[in-house]
Amino acid sequence: MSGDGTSFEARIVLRPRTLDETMDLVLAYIRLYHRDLRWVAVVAVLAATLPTLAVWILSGQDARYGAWALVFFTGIAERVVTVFAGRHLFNNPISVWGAWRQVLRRLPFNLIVLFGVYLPILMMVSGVEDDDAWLGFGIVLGVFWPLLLASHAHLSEVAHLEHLSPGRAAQRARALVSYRFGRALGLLLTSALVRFLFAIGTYSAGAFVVAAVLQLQGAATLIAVPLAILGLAASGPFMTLVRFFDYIDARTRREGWDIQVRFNAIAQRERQERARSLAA
Amino acid sequence: MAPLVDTVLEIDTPEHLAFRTRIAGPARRMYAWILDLLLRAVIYMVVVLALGIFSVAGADGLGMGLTLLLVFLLDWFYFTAWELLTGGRSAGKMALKLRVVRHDGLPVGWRESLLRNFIRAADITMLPFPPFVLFVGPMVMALDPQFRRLGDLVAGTVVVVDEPVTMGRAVAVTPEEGLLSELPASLPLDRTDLEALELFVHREHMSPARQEELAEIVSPFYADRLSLPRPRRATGFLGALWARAQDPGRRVEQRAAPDGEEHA
Repeated sequence: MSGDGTSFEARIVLRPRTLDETMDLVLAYIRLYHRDLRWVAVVAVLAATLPTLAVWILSGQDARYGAWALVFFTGIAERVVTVFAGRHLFNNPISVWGAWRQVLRRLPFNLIVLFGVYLPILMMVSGVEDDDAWLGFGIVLGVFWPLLLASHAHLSEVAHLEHLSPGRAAQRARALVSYRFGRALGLLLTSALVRFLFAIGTYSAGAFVVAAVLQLQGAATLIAVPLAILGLAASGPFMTLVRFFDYIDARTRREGWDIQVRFNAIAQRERQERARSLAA
Repeated sequence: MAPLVDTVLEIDTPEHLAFRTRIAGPARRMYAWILDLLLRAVIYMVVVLALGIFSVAGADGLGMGLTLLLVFLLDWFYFTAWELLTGGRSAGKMALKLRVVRHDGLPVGWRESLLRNFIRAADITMLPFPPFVLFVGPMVMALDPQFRRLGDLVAGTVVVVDEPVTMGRAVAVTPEEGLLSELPASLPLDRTDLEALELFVHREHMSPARQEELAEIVSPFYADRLSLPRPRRATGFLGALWARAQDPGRRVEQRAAPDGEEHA
């Protein structure tokens, strides 16, 4: 416990882990603390899905507007989960609304990062119907973008949990992935794969309910896009936790958090033994 | 307070020995499954090409029959055959360092293997309408504390990560040579101390300032235990402690070297 009452006692066993083990740990964490996490996840998914669907429907089901809205609302909602998880993991109190307030306080920074991260995708989506040049530019940019994204994989965690300015946050995020760039790239690819699987999975489950349970053959295709949007939004809390736990792993490796826990326990034991021998 | 979250399984053997092993989660198992799927596809293609000889010879029916038999065998007995021949590992599991074991840690037998692999069909349910495939297994796995799919739950098996312990890893801390010669051969360190030191000296990519900061947490206590003055460089001191714990004879050899008498 620090002087300002902030706890540093993690709810997980701190030790270096591989990326797949980090994902397993997130599943185990969700299973144990689902009561604490459910509201932040539900609010995040709804806050990402409903406005995106509204924009998509109001724009006459235009994929471009839908994509821009999805990027914006999903991105903001995921940052809320990051802030919440950052407090929850170390046994510090936080409310869902408190996490939202913290994220909205840094809205301009979040917007710049979000549109920076998804720029090539948005350019390609925008260019499909309007102008081939945009499509081409987006593709070229898209080739190099993953490398840049991977080198700033933990920008969001650093900015929100370490309260750094944008410049220093970028510098710190780059430092965190040095020696583990391959893993950061793996995290990026895994994130894309998991989001895709969530979208497919939600569509599959929804289509199963509509076609097999409700016996509304043909209705499954009508709800395909809304279900896919819901699936993408639902992947947000899970992937945010994976990215956050990967950030914890990076700090455990670079700063020896697990060693610190063990050394502190040894020091505590020594102090107690000395106190006992003095008392005797 | 809730227990700390981890991904390891503690198994108590009948001899009352407890050991810990890492449970394999959905991500790693999915990669193994995809590798096995690809291998089965390759086997299937090679055999179907080879069976093409029957259609050349005008025996289409025989070729088709053998192909269907092959599909049946690959679907139902591919995993069981691998698991029985290799002690619980299919080709994909070998590549990903996974192993199927019984819940008590013993090797998987033919009954468990058959059962868990017959129920594989329920884990990936095929439907006659969209979405056509329903991935029940990954969902059950995500909900189970030991990441077991339906087949594992029924057969009483669990998939663990079968990684060998790495010996002789790189040491990231340089021991203080001057101190090393002052340390006794037998150190007053218990298992907890040695495990913490082991972690500390092998941790790479930590800045020297951070290493020193961590080492200063315990080095005064260790120095007091050994009746030594507070070390000037805490990192080097812990490095020396670890080196001595690894090789208690080192001081004797160093001191014996000039006259060569102590070896005799």
